[in-house]
Amino acid sequence: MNASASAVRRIWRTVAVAGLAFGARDARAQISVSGNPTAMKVTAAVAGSAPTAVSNALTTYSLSTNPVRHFTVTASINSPMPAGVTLNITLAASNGVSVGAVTLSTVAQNVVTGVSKRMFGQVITYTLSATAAAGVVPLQTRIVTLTQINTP
Amino acid sequence: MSKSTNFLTIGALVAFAAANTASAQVTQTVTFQVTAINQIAVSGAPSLTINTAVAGSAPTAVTSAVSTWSVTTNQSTASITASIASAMPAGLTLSANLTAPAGAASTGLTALGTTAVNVVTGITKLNSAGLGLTYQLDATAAAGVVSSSTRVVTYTITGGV
Repeated sequence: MNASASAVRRIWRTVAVAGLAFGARDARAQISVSGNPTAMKVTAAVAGSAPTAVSNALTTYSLSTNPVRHFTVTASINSPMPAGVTLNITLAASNGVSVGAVTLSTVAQNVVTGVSKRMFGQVITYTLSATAAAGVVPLQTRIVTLTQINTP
Repeated sequence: MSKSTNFLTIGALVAFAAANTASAQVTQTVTFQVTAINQIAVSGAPSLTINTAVAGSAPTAVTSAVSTWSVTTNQSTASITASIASAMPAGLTLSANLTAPAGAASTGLTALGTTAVNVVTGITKLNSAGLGLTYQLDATAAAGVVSSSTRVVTYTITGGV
């Protein structure tokens, strides 16, 4: 093997190792939240109107690594909401595009797209609404899963 | 390119592809509840004056239909009761007639007294606005001339389960 071939091999090796390191770094991609929101209770209405929706914007999420290209964040809940009760989620995204209010279901839906770099302390807003027909709904929970995905 | 170089190159591509599909998850627990909600409202300021009669008959009753009422309840079989704070003068009768929302029943024109009486029953899990509310004032000749007076009518939504 001549010197030139050896040099090419060293370059490829460097590229390969860099690629492995780069990939390994993003494989550790992390999404985190600041905690659980306090209980949301629909307790009031204006006579003649549907019960008054309530919101909670006291928790945040962070994406602590940079994407290879972009990140998308999806959201879903572990089981359907009771009939007539709706849970919406809105994620702020200073380095991406928030889809806006999304009605949560058991099917994951995009809530943030096109995240170009990491971001911290982004506000999560939940809104709970109910129709009168929903009736009285006892205290219960849903687990919201936020998933960070690398996208082109 | 040597075998080792190919291996490393493929490794880099695999790592890059893995990075492109890598995902991470986090969960939050959301706790929620909807409590019993029962709201009723009325609008309008009705005024009723009896000032005529057909000769030979009692003074002619008057009605006012300028008011409306609205309701929201997420319970079943709720009722609306009505009462006035103090009794009407002798010979005068104040009545109310509330239009029922869908699925409920109105008791029709109902005389009001200091004891609450049902005016609408069977209201179940609905919100409805701008429902009709009509007042009627009746007087007997024996009531005589009655100076201007007011009564506060109290509507209460009750009994939902």
